Amino acid sequence: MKKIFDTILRKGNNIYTQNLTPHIRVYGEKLIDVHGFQYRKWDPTRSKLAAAILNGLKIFPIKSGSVILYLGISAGTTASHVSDIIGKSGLIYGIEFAERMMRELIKVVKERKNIMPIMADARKPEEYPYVEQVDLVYVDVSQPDETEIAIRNCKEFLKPGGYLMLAIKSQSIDVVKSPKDVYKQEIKKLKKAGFKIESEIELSPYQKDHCFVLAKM
Amino acid sequence: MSKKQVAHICKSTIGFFAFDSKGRLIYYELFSPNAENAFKKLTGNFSQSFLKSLSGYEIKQDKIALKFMRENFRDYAISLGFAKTNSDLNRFLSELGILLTNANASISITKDKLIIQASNTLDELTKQINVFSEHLTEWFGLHYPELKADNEKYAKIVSEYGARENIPKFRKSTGIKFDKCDEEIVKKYAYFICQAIAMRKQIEDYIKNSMKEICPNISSLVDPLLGARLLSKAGSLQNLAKLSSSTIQILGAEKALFRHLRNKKHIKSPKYGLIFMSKYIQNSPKHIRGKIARLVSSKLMMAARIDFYSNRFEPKLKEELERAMRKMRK
Repeated sequence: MKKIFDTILRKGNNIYTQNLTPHIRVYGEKLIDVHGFQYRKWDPTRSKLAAAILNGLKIFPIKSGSVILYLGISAGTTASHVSDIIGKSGLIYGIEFAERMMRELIKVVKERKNIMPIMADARKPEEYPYVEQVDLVYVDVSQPDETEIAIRNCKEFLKPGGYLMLAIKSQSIDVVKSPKDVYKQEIKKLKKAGFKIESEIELSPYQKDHCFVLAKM
Repeated sequence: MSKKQVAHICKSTIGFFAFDSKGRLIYYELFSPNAENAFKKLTGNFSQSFLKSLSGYEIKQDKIALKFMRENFRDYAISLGFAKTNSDLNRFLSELGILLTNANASISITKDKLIIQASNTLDELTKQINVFSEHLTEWFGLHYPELKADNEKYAKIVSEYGARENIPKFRKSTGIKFDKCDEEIVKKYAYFICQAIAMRKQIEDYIKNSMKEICPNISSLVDPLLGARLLSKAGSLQNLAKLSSSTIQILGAEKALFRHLRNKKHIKSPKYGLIFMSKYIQNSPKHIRGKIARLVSSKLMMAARIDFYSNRFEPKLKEELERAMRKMRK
């Protein structure tokens, strides 16, 4: 058992985050107690960020107190672990368009109090103008124009020198092209928009045809 | 007269703010730090007192103010005394987010969502009734294997008469004898299936009626149940109204379509998906079914758009479709 990035516990091929709300599970994950603190197991098959960490993500810019804009927060599975890491002094602005997913997310938000749920279309940042400047933008929207959405939101909300985490699902961008070509094409777009690519990680075997990109503005 | 100075104003989650063009804070009006109050102010207009205090300026509500606000949001929130610590501020924002979302979410639910749920339930119920009936036939078949009827009748007979001796026209059977308790439980199970079948009928009627009300044009072209399936596949009436006719044509045949897209040379594209269930296609000779599917889907596309954007009934659609059908069949 060892700590990675100061905040995540690693035990063999399992990773854990310290539970912000002890004894409360978000998606039926396993809870363990270590030295008097409770940790939640982070399932890499359900969270692309966890898969990226296990596949060797070197830089991890999410710290205690970080302010994050999360596009496509969905039911809050990944977000709950990010919320564990940033703690009560950090905040996630969670953008989600689907009313069904929002209902699930609200349950998580009510416990945690460091996520601000916003029901809006990530293509239209003007629908949520009150979001503050953030340290990191996390994008997982599975849309054909995912990269454009990410760039647009970064220009609007990301602080200079902040990071972008982009989970590319090649199947939702182009089903016919090979995943490798899709990644290449999307990364080219990022570079053109002035991002510096820090790392690029394929998420197999945890997620099929997905790539996780960490870029710096 | 000298030119008025510009005040850039914006709404933020913690109050109304005004900046000069260099980003210096001119004036602000904080909300009281409880979420409900902030929710009302944020979704309303700028307060009169705020605008009055800026009467000496030329007021502009623009992105510049938002940018200044964003950059120093946390500094302002804490130095101006809105919140004591970051965690207090976060707790407030989280509560505010829930209020904003709840207000949005109830608007976004429309009546087509009810039809979609009913349609999904109907499909699942039909599947389950088949499985249940199969089990009943197996079970009662041990007692009276000679009884032959379709699922609905079978369940009705068993639930009505119970043991084989009570069934009219019974002569003799190779099955085993049922005790009183065996008979009772099978009878009850059959009754349960009859109930499920009645439920299915009710849901069907419900869908038909609601479809006629919400999507009069789609229901006039195809069976309302098929219309409901199309809605369910598209996700909502709004989504269906945005689809092109070619997409509607193959809605439900995604697997075949992508098989074709991956391997264009060897695998042909599907001609129809869900709309195959339409009587127009099923009653047509095989060689023109593709053409008919194109025709039906193009009319469905128009119907969906009329239903979503104006909801007035357009009898012309059906006439046009039938005229074109006759032409094609000649």
